[in-house]
This record gives sequence, structure tokens and C-alpha cells, in this order.
Amino acid sequence: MTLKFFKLKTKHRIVSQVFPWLEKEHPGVVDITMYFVPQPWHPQSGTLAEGALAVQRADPSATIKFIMAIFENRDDFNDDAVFDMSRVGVYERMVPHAEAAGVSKEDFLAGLKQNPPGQGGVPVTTQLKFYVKHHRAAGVHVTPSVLVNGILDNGISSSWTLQQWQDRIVELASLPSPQPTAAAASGQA
Amino acid sequence: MAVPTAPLGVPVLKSAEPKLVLNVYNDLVGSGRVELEVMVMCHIIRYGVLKLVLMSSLWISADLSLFQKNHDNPDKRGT
Repeated sequence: MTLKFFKLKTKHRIVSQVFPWLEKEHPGVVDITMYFVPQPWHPQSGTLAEGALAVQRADPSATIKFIMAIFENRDDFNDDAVFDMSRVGVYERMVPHAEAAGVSKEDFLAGLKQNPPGQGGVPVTTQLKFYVKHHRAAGVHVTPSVLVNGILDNGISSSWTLQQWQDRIVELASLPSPQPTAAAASGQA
Repeated sequence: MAVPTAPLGVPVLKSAEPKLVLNVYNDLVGSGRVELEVMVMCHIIRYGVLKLVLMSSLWISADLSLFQKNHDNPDKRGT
């Protein structure tokens, strides 16, 4: 029995709510950099990170737009959606999002073509290894993890509401308290 | 040892003089957990409603059957 009409389109709270709130309400106050953390228990996680790196390789300014698009379409890339897909199949599924971000299919796939025999990986594999080494060195395991001024804040959780994020950031950056929004009041993701 | 030739990370918000610096570490995939929870709830609700309808039908059917049985038996009419 299929109940797909009941499926929710999930949104990533940090990307869809926290970043826009900071950009709108407190521009220039907080500096945020995102790092990829591929997780082997989601095998496609590495493939998606490769896709983001292929976009970054082609046009760094398009990367965040591409990441947003992937987050907005997580239903197409979660474990259930890609369970029986090949690595190339996942690459192909990302192509429209790369194009929407401003990177051509050719440029996108150029970073994802198979390396010559014996070398393994794709052109962005070396970069992916740097990211993995970086997050391991930072002691990051779960996602999202957040380093606050260089120190890992273990109190931050993926279940946090916008209000919780706002309270924490307001406290850390000594900002004026935000007015509660309808989304925050309902705890909507 | 190989090192990156450019800074790692994707700048999301940049500030020349930030009050707060956040490095956000994330994967780009979800497990579909939320969808699964919703689907399980829908199954429970759907089967709950189905069971209610089924039981009601059986009860009405049994009741009508009894009514018919009584109706066919002159001695039980009106009971």
C-alpha cells in the first residue's frame, strides 16, 4: 500500500530558517561556513558531497545555491529514494539542481567522471578527502555539528527549533532578542 | 603531506568583523525518518478507520441477520 500523498516535504531547519533569519535580521554579525560530512551509513552521502564539490569546482559562487536545492529536495535523495540507484544514477539526479544553480551539465559531470583505471575515485575525490580529514580532526561525528568560535558545541541538536537556535545565537553574540514568529511558535521545520 | 590549495568550506554568511563564527558540519542527506513516522501514523489511522468500518459492518450485518431471523420466525416477532 502506498501512502505517498501523505509524505511531508522536509526542510532543513538551519538552512531554511536559521541562515535566512541571520541574513535578514543580523547581517554582518555572524560568519558561517559550512563543511561537508559524508556519513557511511548513508552511502549516497559521499556521492552528494561529491556533487557539491563538483559544483564548487566549476563555480564556487554556485555551491550554496546547489546545497540549498539538495536540501529542498531531500525526499529525492534520502535512503529510501536512492537505495537501489547506482553512483552515476545519483550524479544524474543532481544534474538539474546543478544547472539551476548555474553550472552546466558538462561542467558538473566533469568533476564526477571516473578517474583513469588504478587511480580510483573521481576528480573531486582528493577534495572530499580533505573535508573528511578536516571534520575528523575537529572531532565531528553527528550532523549537524557546530563549532562556535572554534570550539565544538555539543548542546546543539538537529531537533532544535528556530527559537532554540535564535536563543543560542542571541546569547552567544549578545544580540537583541528576536520577536517570536509563527513558524518558531509552532516549531515547524 | 598533501594539503588543500584553497580554504575548505562553503561560505554561507561572511562578515569582516563577526561577533560570532560558526562552522556548521553537515551531510546533505536525510534518512527519511520524518516521512517514515508520518507514514506509520497514517497506516495506524487508516487501519484503525478500516477496522472500525469493518466491525460496524459486521455488527450491522449480524443485527440485520438477527432481525431477519426473528422476522422469519413468527414466535420471535417483536422481540
